[in-house]
Amino acid sequence: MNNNKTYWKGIEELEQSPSFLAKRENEFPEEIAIDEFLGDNKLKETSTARRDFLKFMGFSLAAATLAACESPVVNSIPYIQKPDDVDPGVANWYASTYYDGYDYASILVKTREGRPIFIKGNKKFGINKGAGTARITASVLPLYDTARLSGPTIDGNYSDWATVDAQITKTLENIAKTGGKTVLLTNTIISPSTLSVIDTFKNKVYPEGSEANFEHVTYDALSYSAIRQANKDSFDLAVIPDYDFSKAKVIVSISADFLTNWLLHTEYIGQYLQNRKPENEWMSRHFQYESILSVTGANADVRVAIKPSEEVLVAAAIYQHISGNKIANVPQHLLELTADAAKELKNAGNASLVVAGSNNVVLQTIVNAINDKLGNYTTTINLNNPVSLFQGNDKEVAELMDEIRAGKIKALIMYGVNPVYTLPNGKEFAELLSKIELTVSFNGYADETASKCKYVCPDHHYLEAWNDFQVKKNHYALAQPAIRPLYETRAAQESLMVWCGEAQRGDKDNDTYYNIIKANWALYGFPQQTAYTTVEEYWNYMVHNGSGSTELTPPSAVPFMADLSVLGQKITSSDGPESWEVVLYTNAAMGIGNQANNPWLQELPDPITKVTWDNYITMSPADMKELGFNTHIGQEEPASVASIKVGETEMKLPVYPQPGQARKTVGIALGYGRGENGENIGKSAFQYGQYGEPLMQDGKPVSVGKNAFIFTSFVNGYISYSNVVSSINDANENYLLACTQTHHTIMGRNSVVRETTFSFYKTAPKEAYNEPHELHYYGEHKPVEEIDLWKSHPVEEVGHRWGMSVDLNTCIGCGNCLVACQAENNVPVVGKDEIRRSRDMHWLRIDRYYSSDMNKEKAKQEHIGAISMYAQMEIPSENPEVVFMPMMCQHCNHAPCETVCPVAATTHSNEGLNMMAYNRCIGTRYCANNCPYKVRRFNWFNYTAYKKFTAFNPSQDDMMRMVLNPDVTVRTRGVMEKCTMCVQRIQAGKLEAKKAGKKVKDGDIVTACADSCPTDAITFGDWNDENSQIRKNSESKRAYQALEEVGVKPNIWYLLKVRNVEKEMVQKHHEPHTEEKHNEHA
Amino acid sequence: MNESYHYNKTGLVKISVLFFFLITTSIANFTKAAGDPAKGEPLFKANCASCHHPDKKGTGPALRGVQARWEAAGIGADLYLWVKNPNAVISKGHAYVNDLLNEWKPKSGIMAAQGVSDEQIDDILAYIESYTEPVAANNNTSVVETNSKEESGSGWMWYVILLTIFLIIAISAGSVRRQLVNANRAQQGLEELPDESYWTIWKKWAWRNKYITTFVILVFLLGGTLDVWYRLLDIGVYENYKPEQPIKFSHQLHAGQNKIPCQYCHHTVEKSKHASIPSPMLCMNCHKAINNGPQYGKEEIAKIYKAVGYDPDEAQYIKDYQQQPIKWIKVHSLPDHVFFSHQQHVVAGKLDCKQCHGEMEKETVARIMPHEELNKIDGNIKIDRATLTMGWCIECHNKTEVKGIANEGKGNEYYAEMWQRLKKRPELLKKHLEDEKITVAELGGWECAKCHY
Repeated sequence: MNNNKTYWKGIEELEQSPSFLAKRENEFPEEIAIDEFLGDNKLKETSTARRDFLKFMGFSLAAATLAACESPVVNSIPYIQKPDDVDPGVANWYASTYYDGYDYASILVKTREGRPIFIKGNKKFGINKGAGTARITASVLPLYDTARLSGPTIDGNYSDWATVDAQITKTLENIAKTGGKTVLLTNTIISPSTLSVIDTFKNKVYPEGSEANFEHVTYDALSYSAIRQANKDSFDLAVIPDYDFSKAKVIVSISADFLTNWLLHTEYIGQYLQNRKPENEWMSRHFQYESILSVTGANADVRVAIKPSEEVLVAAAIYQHISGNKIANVPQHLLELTADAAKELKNAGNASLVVAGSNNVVLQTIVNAINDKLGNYTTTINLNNPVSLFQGNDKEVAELMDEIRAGKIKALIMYGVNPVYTLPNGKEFAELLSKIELTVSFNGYADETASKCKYVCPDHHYLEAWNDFQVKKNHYALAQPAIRPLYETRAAQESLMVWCGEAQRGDKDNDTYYNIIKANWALYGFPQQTAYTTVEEYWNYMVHNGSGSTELTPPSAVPFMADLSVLGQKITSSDGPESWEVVLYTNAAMGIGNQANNPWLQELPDPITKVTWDNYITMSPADMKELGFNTHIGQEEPASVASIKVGETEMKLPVYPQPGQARKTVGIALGYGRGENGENIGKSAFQYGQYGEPLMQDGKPVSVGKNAFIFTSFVNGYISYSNVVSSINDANENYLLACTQTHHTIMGRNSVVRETTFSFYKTAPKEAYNEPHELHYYGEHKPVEEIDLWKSHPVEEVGHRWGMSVDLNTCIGCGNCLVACQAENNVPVVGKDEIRRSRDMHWLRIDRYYSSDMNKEKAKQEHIGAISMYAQMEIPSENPEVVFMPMMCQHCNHAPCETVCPVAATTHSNEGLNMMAYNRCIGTRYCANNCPYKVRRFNWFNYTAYKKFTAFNPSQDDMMRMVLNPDVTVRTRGVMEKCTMCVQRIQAGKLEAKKAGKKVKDGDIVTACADSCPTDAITFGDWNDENSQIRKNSESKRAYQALEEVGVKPNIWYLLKVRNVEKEMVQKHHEPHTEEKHNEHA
Repeated sequence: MNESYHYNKTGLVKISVLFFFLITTSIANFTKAAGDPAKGEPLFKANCASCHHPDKKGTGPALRGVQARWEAAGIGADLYLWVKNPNAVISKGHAYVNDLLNEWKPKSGIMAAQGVSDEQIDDILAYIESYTEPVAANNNTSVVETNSKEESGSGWMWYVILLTIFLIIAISAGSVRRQLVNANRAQQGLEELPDESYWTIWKKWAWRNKYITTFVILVFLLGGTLDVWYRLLDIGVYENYKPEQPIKFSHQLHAGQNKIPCQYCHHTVEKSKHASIPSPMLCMNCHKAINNGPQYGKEEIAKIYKAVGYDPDEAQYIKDYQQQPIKWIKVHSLPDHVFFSHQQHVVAGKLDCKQCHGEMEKETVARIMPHEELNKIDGNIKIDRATLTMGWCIECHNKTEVKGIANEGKGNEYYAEMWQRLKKRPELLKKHLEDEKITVAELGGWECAKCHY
């Protein structure tokens, strides 16, 4: 049957309207804008016809193809005179010292062909015993920053040293003659030779009779001057004593982040970790009372969340428990929360240590009283060997401000300080600078302060300079240059010597300051020792070792003199539970912001929050819900922005949910928001858009994060790093944070992270806490290793089998390994936008997991269904226990990535390594999808050329690319990469053994992460060597393999975490006092 | 005289004449000393030449007439002692020796003691007295090479010329033929053939001889494809790469004639991944004294002086000289993603330089030796792949025995340990030893991460 239906495509067709009929004849219903397109007369005028155009295209394509076949001419330029010690292709190591007014460490600098490329702690010499921090490891990169000043400037314009010297000398002379006052404002100078130079300068410019007109003011951005004052009040010794955590069985820390930031943390970290090994007879027990969740708090056995205003009360409570004397009215809940800690302290007696972080004299004095009562001044605290760090005097700084306001200061010379940025009233200070006749800064950048100074006389980068240090009474250290100064910079000490007429300016190779140091060491250091017979020998060994110690005066008791009853009156009760308080803390990456221009550090995920490239307000999730802030932050789920007001100062920052944060408190990291006025302090200190364009606001580039120093304040003459919040409101804005970890719990899977308690570990059999995984197999249970899909790789027994173990108990999550890996393996920096899209390139990540209130047992008891159980498992406890798990390629012997690669780009070596041949890789990313550990990284972009990364990826900068390790390929777009277990180091180590005809000794070959780990949590070695540490670790009772049940047979073992705490204890302390007690566990 | 020398036949004649002259003059000098200058020459080069020259001041004084001078000073016998133990003579405190020390010690220090016997010193002295400036080299190899290079370079021109002549002949023969045909037709009273273009004629011819045409086209197509294929295979192959270098350095002269060991200049070869190009200051060890050479010597050595700032006339370095590094062209250049280590191959693998670099002592500037040439070298493994390609590397790794582990690794603890571990898997060891040796590949030398990371 015919289909006689009529279909019409519009009412016009049905009606057969005339306009439709007219249009029907045209191919296109509407006029096409051909004329518009081709009507451009300019186009018509061109003589290039379409055919010609195609010819040109074709020709250029062919030419380009042919040209690609030609190999480029590579030049090779030998040294004119090869230095004796430098062989191309061979690394040289130099012992030196890192000190920037905040961190201190003895270090080793690796140079290749004269370029420093890697820094690690000096394991043989120095008080830090090889420990470093991410900041120290990363400090090699700013050496090559092009934003560094390349010579002296006058009013922001480059000049030359002769002109600058002449002008400054003349002005100084005039000021001195007319009786004007000169102030030298520095950070804590621990260099004896620098102090001698300052002395010479003072005596020359202000000879006898006029010394009063010269003042040297010490100012630390992060001040501990209260500790010195407290010790003066307590013992009449204005010192910071030498702490020894290794002798303490019980450690109580009141908001002191002594593992990553507090005082001489690079030394404490090793001391602390000595007693955190469950294999030992005893483990120290660590109580932490703090408001923010710090790295130290995350590693504590018992952590209690308190408000900053409660710190003094906590100390008073502990004192009350120990001595029985009441010094203040301590609320009942704090007495309860401190009872256990006090009991333990009392039991431990003088094998204990109480420390406090805040710059508060009352708190520090009570802490001294506690330590005195416990007898710690004869054991764990040594007043006879004071630490010379942090000599900053807040009162003098405040006075200096007054004097400048009064116009009394005629010359201000600043060295190592950036008060415009770090002072609470930095803006005012910037204005005051213009009132001073002569302002000089030695800073290497035209930063916030230097750009306001008339003269900037850039100091060398520390890797270019000689210096010496006395960090403690009995310990001296030297810094030696690892490279010739890159720019026309000059040591600050030399500048001072030139200005006072004691030295002549030569060129940048001048050895004025070197001679001063050497003379000082010969004069003072040499007679103090007996090991070396000649000065030359002594000096050479000191330079080689980098440091040396003189005899240690052992601790001895000093009578405690402070009157606690007077102190008690000073303790005002806290402002009540209703007021909000802010804690200004320093995090592991940025510290006080000296290296805000360091892209490695900006991209280092914060150990706790895992956020990169920003600072933010940390707040308890419960508080956030009350205030209506978004608590789920993800790739496309922005954080809410809060407007926070302290006093009259207001700031807008995104809010980040932080489990463990004390209720009604917020934390903001210092060190961010550098270059707020667009000062040229390095490109990585600023934010960039999706295509690499600098983000601008009001004509100025937008800094990374905000400056939280403006929330600090002078309280009773001391800079306080916590404050009362006037208001905190929703700003009704959203802000995307770049976070590398957005899931926070392990959802009850003990095949990822395992942990137990110390007493259980010591008494129970291995199976009880480290259960081997079994699989169902035709009705029976079989251990995982007995079931296999593949033939095994012949890696056991034969040749080498490289393996690694990671001790979850000693890993503190600091992130130093991550930066070391980045430096060693040329890992690109991808920037905030890419990190947010989960395209981070770090070969090693540190997973941080929080405990959850929900677990399977509890769900069973309370008859909670699976869906609801898992939903609740996702929510971290309010004050969670924390575990850090470094995760990198597990080098599986049955690697799932290898079987799916269509081009065999990733294969297995007979040494147990999972190899990656970049040039074979075609970028299918099958391997990444098939990796159960998610450790493979894909090069989404050409990071070495694409504009998006120009501002911060070191390999795009002609200077910064000098930091690249020449032994490792820089990967290009479209290939997969991942941890290679530093195969370049393995190959080099084997070659050394072959050449020497010796076996590879355990410890000869180490990966960058293991090399830099301050706690030796990472062990690397040859598993086939039966005496190796890795073999022993793999057979340890604590050893397990991550996701063992998938049967991929990794070459990496984890040692489970052991907490020195009883479960009941955790529950008691971790429950917030404001809520009613749960009784499910009872 | 020698500056005007060129590589050509007449030049060769000149060399012979000059060489003859040289020999005869040498013979004439024979009688002057008791030693044998022929024996003395290698001794002088090995022990003395890095600091001394017979006629020029170098690191040490010019030596011609040294014996006469010492005898004149009355200490002729001490000259022998001086060579063997200079400090012993210094302690004697002769006035002449003191004068010498005053002049030379500040810039050069004291001469090192030389391990030579008195007879050898006689030979050396004889050589010094008989020494004449070499005027030309008997560098036959490079003459031949240069000529052959020219021939191969101009070969294709001849083909073009021949082809053109052939075409002209063919075209003119064609037109002659047509005229003849037309003349023939005119005789027979036929019309002239239409004036067709060559193209139409050719088309008609091709149509008539379809099979031949098809065959010829096929041959050309196939040949062309093959040619393109082989050319593509050559991409990234740099055999015989020999770029012109900033200095016309001759390995033949240094390593060949003067027998300077490779490691003297490429001295990091045993401690680094790079063999490294020597720094000009290393050249100066010898060239302070030697500022002329057989061919391009004067200009080329002057380039070293220019780089380091040395005044050969004054025999001293120019003060505050802006030194000018020499921009050599890297010849053996591997891609960035390849890690190659000289020390691995030379020290651990105990390879000889020539196994990969061929007979450099017969070359001028560096050249990548083609694998065919390398295969001719004694003891070398025969390889089918082009030099410095990955195939070349892995072919060698596949066949080369690991010398360290041969003989159960005796003498090297590392390999002894590897052998012990290998013994724990007898079946694997047996498989490895099927060809009676353990090769590099069997120990993992074929694995990606051995060279790529």
